[in-house]
Amino acid sequence: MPRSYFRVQRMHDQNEDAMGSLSAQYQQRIFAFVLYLIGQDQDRAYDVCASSFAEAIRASSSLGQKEVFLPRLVGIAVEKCRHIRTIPTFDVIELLKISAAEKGPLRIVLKALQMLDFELKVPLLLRFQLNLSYDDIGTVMRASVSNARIKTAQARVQLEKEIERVLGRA
Amino acid sequence: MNCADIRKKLQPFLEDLLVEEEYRAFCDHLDACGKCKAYVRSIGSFSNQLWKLGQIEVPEDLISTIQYKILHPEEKGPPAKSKRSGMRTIAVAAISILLTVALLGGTAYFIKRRHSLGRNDEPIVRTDVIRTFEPLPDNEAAALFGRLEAMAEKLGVSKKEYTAEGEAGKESSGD
Repeated sequence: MPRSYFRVQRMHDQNEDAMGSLSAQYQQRIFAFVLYLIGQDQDRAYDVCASSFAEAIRASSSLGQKEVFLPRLVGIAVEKCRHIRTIPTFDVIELLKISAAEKGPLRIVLKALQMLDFELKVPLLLRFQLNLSYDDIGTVMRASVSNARIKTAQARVQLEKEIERVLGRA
Repeated sequence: MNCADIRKKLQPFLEDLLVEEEYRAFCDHLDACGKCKAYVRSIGSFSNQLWKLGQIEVPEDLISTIQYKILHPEEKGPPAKSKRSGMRTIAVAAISILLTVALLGGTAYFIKRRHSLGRNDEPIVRTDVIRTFEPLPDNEAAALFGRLEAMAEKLGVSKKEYTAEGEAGKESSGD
């Protein structure tokens, strides 16, 4: 049995509450983030999400530092998603816990989001879905804070264009 | 607070992180400036929509899978049976059945045909094509050998060259 197993087991025992709360806190946001990033394949998103959590927790010496944990988790998830290309296999709108009236506009946003390049989707989702700071976005994207700001702004403009295009087509 | 400040303070405003004074100044400027008001509304609704996309149902067993993967990083879980492997199994089974049926059918046809030709008692291997050679009688063998010796003499071949003694002599001289 490798030594790391016992280390993780011990950490797991000591921080069970912390890990439980961390997983509960972030699983929904990370699952949604991965799902939109790879293109709405629920099974792949599940695998990527679970393995990203596991790697991030294993890489953390302590689960108490939430400020460090989330960017690390997101960074791992982004790298895992980078080379995954999927075809949408189901209507993700059905999974949203919102009223039917709110689903209409969101369907348009979602369509537009799926038309964006991976590199544009990343800062957009990091900023507006995960509410990460530009510092953290820069860390995840391995870019400076100002670059992270610029890329997020570019992505937002592009998404607005895509929304207009979707509305025009409709 | 001016239009540039509004753009700077927008994110803290949306996240409700402004202190009370800044918040009041922000709202006062929005009341006075139509452009900024429209900008904040568009961005506000935009970020709100993306945030709503995160309100998604998560598979119930995700946490237990995470816990399993933490403790068993090298295992990738039970391999899923792909459709392709299932199809391969079916194809192999079908080919095996076809071959068995063909073999049994062929054997049955062969036996039936032999029966219709009235060769039931005959052995399957034809024995009439196999010839048996009886050894020559001594006198005929002696006559044959005499003719061979005469032929060898005519050709100038000595007896030692084609008999067993001659062969043994060659081998010993070669060694």
